[in-house]
Amino acid sequence: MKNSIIFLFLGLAALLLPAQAPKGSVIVRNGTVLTITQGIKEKTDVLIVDGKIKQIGTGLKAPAGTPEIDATGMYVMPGIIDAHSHLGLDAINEGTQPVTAEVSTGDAINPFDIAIYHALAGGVTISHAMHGSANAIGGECETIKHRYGETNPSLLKMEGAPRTIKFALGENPIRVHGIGTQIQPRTRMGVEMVIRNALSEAKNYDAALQKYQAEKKTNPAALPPTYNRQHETLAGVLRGEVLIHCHSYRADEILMLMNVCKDFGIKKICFQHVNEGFKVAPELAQFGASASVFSDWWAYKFEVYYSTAYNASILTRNGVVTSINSDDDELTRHLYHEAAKTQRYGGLTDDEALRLITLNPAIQLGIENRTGSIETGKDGDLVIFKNHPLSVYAIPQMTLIDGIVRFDVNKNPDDMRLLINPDEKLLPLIYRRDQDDHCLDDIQLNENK
Amino acid sequence: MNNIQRILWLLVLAGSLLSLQAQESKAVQGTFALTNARIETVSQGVVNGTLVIRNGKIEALGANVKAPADAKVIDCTGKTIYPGFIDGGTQVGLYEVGSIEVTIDDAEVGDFTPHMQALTAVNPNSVVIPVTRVNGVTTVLTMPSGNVLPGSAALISLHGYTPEQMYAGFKGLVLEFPTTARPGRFDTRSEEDLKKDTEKRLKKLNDIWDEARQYAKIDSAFRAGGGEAPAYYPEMAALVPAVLGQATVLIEVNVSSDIEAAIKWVEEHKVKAVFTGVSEGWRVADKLAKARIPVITGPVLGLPTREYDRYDKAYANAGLMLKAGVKVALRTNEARNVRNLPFHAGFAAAYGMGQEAALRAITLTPAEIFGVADRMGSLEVGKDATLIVASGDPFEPKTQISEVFIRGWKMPLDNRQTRLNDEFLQRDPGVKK
Amino acid sequence: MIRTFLRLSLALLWGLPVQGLFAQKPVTHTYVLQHVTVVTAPGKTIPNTTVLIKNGLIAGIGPNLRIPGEAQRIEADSMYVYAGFIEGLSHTGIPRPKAEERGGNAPRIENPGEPTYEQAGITPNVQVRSLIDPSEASIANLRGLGFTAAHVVPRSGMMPGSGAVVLLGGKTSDEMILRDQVSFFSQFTPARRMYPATVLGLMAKWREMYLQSGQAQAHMQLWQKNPAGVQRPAYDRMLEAFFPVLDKKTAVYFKAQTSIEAYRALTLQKELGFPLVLSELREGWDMAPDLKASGASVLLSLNLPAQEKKDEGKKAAADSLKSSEKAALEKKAADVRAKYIGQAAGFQQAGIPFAFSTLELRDKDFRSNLLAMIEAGLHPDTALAALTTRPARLLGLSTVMGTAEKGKMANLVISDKPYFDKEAKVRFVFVDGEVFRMETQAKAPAAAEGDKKGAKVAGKWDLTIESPQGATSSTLNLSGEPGSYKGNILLEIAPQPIDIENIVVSENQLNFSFSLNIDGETVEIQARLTVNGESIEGVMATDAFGELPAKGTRIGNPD
Repeated sequence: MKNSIIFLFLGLAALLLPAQAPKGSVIVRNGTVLTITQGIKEKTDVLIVDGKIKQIGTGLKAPAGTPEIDATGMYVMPGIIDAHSHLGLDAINEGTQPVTAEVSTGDAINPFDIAIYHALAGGVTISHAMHGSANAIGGECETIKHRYGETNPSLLKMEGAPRTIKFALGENPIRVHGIGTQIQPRTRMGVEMVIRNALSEAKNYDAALQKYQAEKKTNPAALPPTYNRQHETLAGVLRGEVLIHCHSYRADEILMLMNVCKDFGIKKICFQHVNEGFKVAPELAQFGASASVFSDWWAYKFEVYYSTAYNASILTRNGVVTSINSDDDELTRHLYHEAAKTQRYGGLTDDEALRLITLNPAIQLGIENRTGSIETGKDGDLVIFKNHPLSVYAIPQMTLIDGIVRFDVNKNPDDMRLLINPDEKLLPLIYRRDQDDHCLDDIQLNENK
Repeated sequence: MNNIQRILWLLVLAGSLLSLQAQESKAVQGTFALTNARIETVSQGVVNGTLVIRNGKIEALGANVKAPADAKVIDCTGKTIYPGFIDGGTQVGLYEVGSIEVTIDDAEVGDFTPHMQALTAVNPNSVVIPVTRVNGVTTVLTMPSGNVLPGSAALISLHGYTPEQMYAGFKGLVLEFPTTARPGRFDTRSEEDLKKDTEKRLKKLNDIWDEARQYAKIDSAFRAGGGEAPAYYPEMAALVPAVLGQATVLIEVNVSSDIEAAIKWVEEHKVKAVFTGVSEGWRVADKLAKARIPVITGPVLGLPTREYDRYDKAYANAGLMLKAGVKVALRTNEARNVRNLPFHAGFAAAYGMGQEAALRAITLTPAEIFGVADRMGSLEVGKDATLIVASGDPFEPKTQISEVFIRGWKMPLDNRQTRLNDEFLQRDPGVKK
Repeated sequence: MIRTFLRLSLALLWGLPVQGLFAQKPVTHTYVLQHVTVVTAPGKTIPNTTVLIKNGLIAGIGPNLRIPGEAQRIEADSMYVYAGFIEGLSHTGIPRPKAEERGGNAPRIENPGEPTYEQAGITPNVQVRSLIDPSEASIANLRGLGFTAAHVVPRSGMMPGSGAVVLLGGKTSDEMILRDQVSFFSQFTPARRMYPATVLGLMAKWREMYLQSGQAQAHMQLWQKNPAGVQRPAYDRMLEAFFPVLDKKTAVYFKAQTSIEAYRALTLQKELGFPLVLSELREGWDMAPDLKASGASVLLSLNLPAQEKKDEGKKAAADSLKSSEKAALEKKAADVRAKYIGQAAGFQQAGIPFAFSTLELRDKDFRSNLLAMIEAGLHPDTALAALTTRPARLLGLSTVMGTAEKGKMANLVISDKPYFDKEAKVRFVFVDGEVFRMETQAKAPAAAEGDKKGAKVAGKWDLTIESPQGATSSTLNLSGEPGSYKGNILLEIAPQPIDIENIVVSENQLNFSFSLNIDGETVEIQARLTVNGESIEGVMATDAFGELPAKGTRIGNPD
């Protein structure tokens, strides 16, 4: 019930300042602070003022009226970041053509998705809500903060986060387009060319646009190229304004895309899933590409049959900025546990393991200056754990976003849905849980069997 | 000529290296003494001392046990021995690559196939098996699925070159109890239709059961020397031990109202039942306890079944049932990542079950449920030497497993995933050609 | 598969043409109402007065009017006169498209990435004029509730076409249309299995077309100014349909039932800057501040969630929920239901003016939903404004309709009690100066009375229902005595007979209703049959889908 008071307050704040995410002030006292960048600080306070971390230290004084959270005996870590997710989205794949750079998952945000709350309850404060992998070039993705309780979808967007776009290689685009509708790509050769064509066309479009802008100063009859949203977005990719996050599995296709990027002068790329990233870790490191991987998912299709749970540790040891992601509404709730598995498979240190779900995904999303560690000036996104987050006995107690408590294990009524269909049926849905990437959700495959 | 010789020499060297590796990745049997160990017996608390393995069995264990002269001594200082973990529900051996249907053998076509035997289709050389073993999971129930009576599940050891060698002494008839739940959002049947369909399926099940009883009657009369032999009807023949209450029926049931219906059904049909799944068991835990039906529940790492349930209901379910007095074992219900069983147990432990009970739920309790507790599930003299040595709490991801014994066989700890690590951690050549 | 097909064949009914609206020509176009109370505008009432209607206009209102000799007196003494209601947005008069046109079995196209505009549901050039069917049943139904004009838009796709203001009376669509191309209608309806197949593609396509239309307009203007040296602009009727929006002469009416959809429409508006009317909003109770900030106008939905059913508790009980759990769920459902019902009152309190749209309204729910909103705090004056002055202003029609004042069009609704009184009944409606008399239907006791002198209907009837996909047979079983008939109907598509209700027999007319569950949606079906000895003939009708002919014979005694 007290939780609804929080939400009530948020509602009032929204009333005063429409379309601005609310921010809070709070002091978290006396916890074991896992800063990620500055080691472990025992019995330390973290002061958040107006949504930003103001001070870290012992015996801090907070402005009068600042609510206190006692974290004695608890672990305080930065909000967990999931670099690959599809939660909070009404649609994932515009899978009707092999290139759909013009679309954006930011248009499909569903703030009522209970998965957002479930993720919060697992300490996840930020998700990279991605387009699916039906297309060689999918749409733009949205970095969202889990501000559950807000009903305006745009309030979930992390303001100021860089634009990102989903690319996809291998089986998925091949199954959907080549096999499904006999449209390229049907092979990994085709995937390369579809991507090269799209980038080249965007390059030409951009050149035509520049030319028009120069020409129109002197020639009133000059005409612009017909507005093309796909080219506009990909021109942004070429300029480095839109970061590529590429669904990929096999070593050869990973190398292929790095070559494409080299040819087009694209510097930043994060490979997603990348189950065979470990095979080309030296190349990834040399290029400066990063990798966002599953802890241990494998064998759900042929291109992930030759996987290893040591992927994250091999990549880390080879100097690749690596994160562990979920791609799944269930898995995202225990990313801290997924990160811990790298200690069994490859013996990563606590610090290395925690970076996989905090600073490293922040770097991959281009938000490392604001999140991913507990440092003054960064966003007040924290999780408070009972037991060390890498222990199997860890239980998230509280999750804060911008200094506002969005999850509190002690103030957590069973039913946290924000909106229901009043005519809805009470019957449960039992999902058969299957470990598979969710990147083909929304797609009806039309394969010839 | 010189070059050719060099190449030949390299080939010989490579061959011998390979054979060396092959030797290392083979299980070996013998007499072993695990000394200076902390021994978590599960049945009799913790003992510090030595555990002796001979002829596949635990020959001795205790503080005063000395390593026999002929035993290979493995010093376990700072380490703990646990019984091998038992996963009460998987598709191990029946499943290889998810998107390739021809590699998946857990669901036969037909809506009534109780005569299917999971054991038949277990692939002893599945890549999954060694990957699973190294995390301490030594025994799994592998289950068919797909229709109301999809066939028989089998308990298998994760070591052996034939299904028969792997077989661990328990088979159970799987019954997927007709459910009122939707398999997913794509199911748009109306509530009424859903109910009707469920009733229809339940009626069909009852009809089959009645027929099987009749078949069993004819069969026993024939065996007693009266009447004709029953007609060849393998589906019915497979049901005979179950309808006579002799064989265990593994009833997959999840929704609370379905659980209640299944309890009623079990009582009416006098079936020796074990409930599996039971994801909403917490809702009707008292009734389950009263019916004294054991439960194999999982996955623990799951979402709540209903959007309005508390976020951690799947984590807490096992503990809540246990607290109500239900006999609870755990399962992953997985094919590829059965290796996560100890982590599922860890989550159940953290969310109310407690470490000790969670350990029992993946060792002795499933052994009891499957009627094989005389051979496995705890560390006792005379039981199978199916055990693991861990650097600490095996539920903790950080912990390393240093030994796995299955029926006295010392198992290799490598598998394709570790070998890929060995090869690629420091790839040579690196970026240079 | 066959089953689904059969389901579809019954589910996708559509209306048959009914008889022309005017059986004969009226003898005069001048009418007078006396001793009536006129609510001239929300909150403004003139008691006991006279209204004169002549040549389609309100010729006068006042106690001392001179009544011309040709005036026909309407028996409306002591009744209440209001300005005729205006549907802020509706599909009234536009038949439902046939199943195949609705994309039920959308054929696969070769390249799903490049459908034609029409395949993709992008037809902003379509006009209502070509779609209206003056005999469509919804026209009379809405008029019976007091509506005299509607802002009508085409039905299908993400950009179905432009809207027109339509008078709910007239013989031809030209006669009915008051003003054409008054709006640009859009909805969040993606194409099926082709681009744009999701809201992702839909939003992108919307932006792209809007920006391309801006380019096209600039190009056109450049060329029209002086074509010398300018490449000829290509002609694209879809892009041209945006021009009035670009010029801000026409608003985009975006159907947005949920708050999520409403926010998506606001996003487009904010980015592109077009005038926006959020339409058919059902879940906007948290949106008031954002709506105010956006400057968008709003049409609230009159479609409310179904009222709590009495057997809901039983259903939950079967699901073995703990009683505390059940109570919490029921409370949550009730709370949310209250939010839907209270939405209009909330907007009133927040000071946001609104009209009503009726795209998703089931006619028979109109009055009960409206009264529920009033009970939840909506002031009757605000409700009346939302039905009259507000839509008139939104559509730029305030000078001709929306109030009952001298000089306005004679669009009036006359009820026997104040309209927002529970017991009130609409007795007369004037559309464009022509009178429509509403028959008051006898209530249940009268119907029972009728049974006694009704035809013999008991028996087992073999009934063939003509659906667009072909004939489907059914068995109607009726037993009992006049006044207490019982029965059921067995349909090919349902596994068990369905009980029929509201059986009324009057002379040789047999009416009853039943509800059918089609893929989770309850469809109420009204049977109106005429018994002629051993044969029976008539229609099966639904609010949503229209009428379907049925015909059969008696094959025996009831079971």
